[in-house]
Amino acid sequence: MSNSSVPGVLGIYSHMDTLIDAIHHFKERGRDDIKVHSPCPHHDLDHALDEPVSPVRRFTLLGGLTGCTFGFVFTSFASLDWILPTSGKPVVAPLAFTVVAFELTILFGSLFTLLGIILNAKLFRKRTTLYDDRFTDDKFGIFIPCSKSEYDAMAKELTENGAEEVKHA
Amino acid sequence: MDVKIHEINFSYGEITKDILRTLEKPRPTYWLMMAMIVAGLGIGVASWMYQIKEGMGVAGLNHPVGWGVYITDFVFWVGIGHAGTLISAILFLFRAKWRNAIFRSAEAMTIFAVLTAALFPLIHVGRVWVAWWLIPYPNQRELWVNFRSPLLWDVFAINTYFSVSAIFFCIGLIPDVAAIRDKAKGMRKKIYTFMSLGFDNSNHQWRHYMAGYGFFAALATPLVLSVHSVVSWDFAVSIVPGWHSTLFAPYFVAGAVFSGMAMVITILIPFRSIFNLEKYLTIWHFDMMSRLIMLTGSIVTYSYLTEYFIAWYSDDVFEIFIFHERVFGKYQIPFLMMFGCNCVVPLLLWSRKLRTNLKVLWVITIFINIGMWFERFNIIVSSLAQEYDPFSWGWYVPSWVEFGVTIGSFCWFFMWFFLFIKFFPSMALTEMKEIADPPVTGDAAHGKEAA
Repeated sequence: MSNSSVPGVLGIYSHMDTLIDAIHHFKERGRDDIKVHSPCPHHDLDHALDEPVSPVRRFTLLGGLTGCTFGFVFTSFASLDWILPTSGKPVVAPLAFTVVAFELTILFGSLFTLLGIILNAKLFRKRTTLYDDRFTDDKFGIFIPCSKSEYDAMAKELTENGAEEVKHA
Repeated sequence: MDVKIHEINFSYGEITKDILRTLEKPRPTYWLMMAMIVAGLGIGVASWMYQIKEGMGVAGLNHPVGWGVYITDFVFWVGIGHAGTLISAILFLFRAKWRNAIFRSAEAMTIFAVLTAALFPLIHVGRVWVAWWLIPYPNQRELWVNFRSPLLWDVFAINTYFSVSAIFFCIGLIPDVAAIRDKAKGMRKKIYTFMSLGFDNSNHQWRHYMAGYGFFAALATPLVLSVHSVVSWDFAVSIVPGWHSTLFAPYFVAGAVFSGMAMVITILIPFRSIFNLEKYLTIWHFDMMSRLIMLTGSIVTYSYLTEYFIAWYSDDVFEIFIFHERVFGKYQIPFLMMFGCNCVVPLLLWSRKLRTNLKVLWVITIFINIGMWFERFNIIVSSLAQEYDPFSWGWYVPSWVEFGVTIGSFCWFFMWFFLFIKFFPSMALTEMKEIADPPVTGDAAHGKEAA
């Protein structure tokens, strides 16, 4: 809990409606840097946070296009590199290669999507903000980055906005 | 109980506690089952080792039946692997709430079934030490594989299916592994901390995670339909009577979902009872799965009938002969097993009373599993045994080695499943919370009706 490097205050909530009210409060105050924890994703939270669409979709598209192109180019190249005549079929047979290209479209699309999640969600990185183990169980939380001098004021504001517990680094 | 109404009325904390309970120290029954599985696996490994040492002659395979039990097993296990991704991807896109309680187990089953299926091409090629020649890569022999061959399409289809299903499965596990991490202590905490990849349930992570999860579902959906289509083309692209049919792709896909759903039910009914998960895995869930079986089972029966109609309508003597032989010839028993188990027995599911009786349902799904294995045997063996030229006809009987490997494959599959249920939540914590009402102030009834 104390291994955070970003200074700030963490408010812990038991109820989602209180949490959403608090989010609205801090958003109205222009605090777009808050970090909200919840045991599962929820549409009401998405609406309250009003975040932009994730860029993961671009990774998926890029992966799919890469896989499809690679599928056709690779099979054509390999067939021309080692010419294997069979039953009068064309050496470069786009119809037959479509199956391979389709599978590689899906494979590369998935691998790039995985990469998109890892890079955007910042997985494989050490946590730098305050956290509470109950966030994966039944509690919600709001982390507000602030300087040490603001801790008391921010803790008070969180408590006034429904936080049941408040922690700081 | 009225199966239309199902209430998931649990708090987040209760869901976490109940589901993580399945990871506690196993009972003696678990070890007993595991010992039986390992013994069966030993039979499979010994049989395969004997075949490697003595050569393919010890299997019953010989001219003209070069594909026998091993390819039957391969197609069977690929089919079993279809239900998991169907439930996790297609039903996710349709927002079917009943999937949430069952998709994790079904997905795990998919991974282990494909892992099992992938063994069979290796076992079947005989000289397993050169099986990697199937993989296209620049090599010192200056050869490339034949990309026009459906067998190579299969290499791509199966490997892609396994890779994508495994990634989808692991991605889905991350939030739940984070939940285990936060409850664990000591060495377990360290291991699960590493495996949770730093997931902290924050809005930044959920946003990208959910977007990516949706795209995985969208990518996996056509993949589910393509994999068994490609497997079916291993047969349909040839000119063997009984195989050369445009019907094969949809027929195989429906059969795969049919058998996969049956296996999910076969596994989940005892699982539910052993871990006391009756309140999460309700009659409603089994009713919904049974309905999918009824749908796909009807498509399978329709496909069987269409095959016979087309054989007659084609006026092709070889086609007509093969289909006549399947019913009245030497392989009549596999045909009757197939037809009885896949077309007649599932008719019982049209009775709501029977399909909501879990004991009856469990027995029916076992019959379907058996029937679907015989379907593949029937298609593969009966066609190869009596192709065009009567001079080259033959009679295939599986050897004890093939039966040993088949027993081993079932034990291999169950070994992975039994290991999985002790190390990971076999019911998705996060997704169960998604369908429960979130806690709100003055919340008298925390939870909601999900049906």
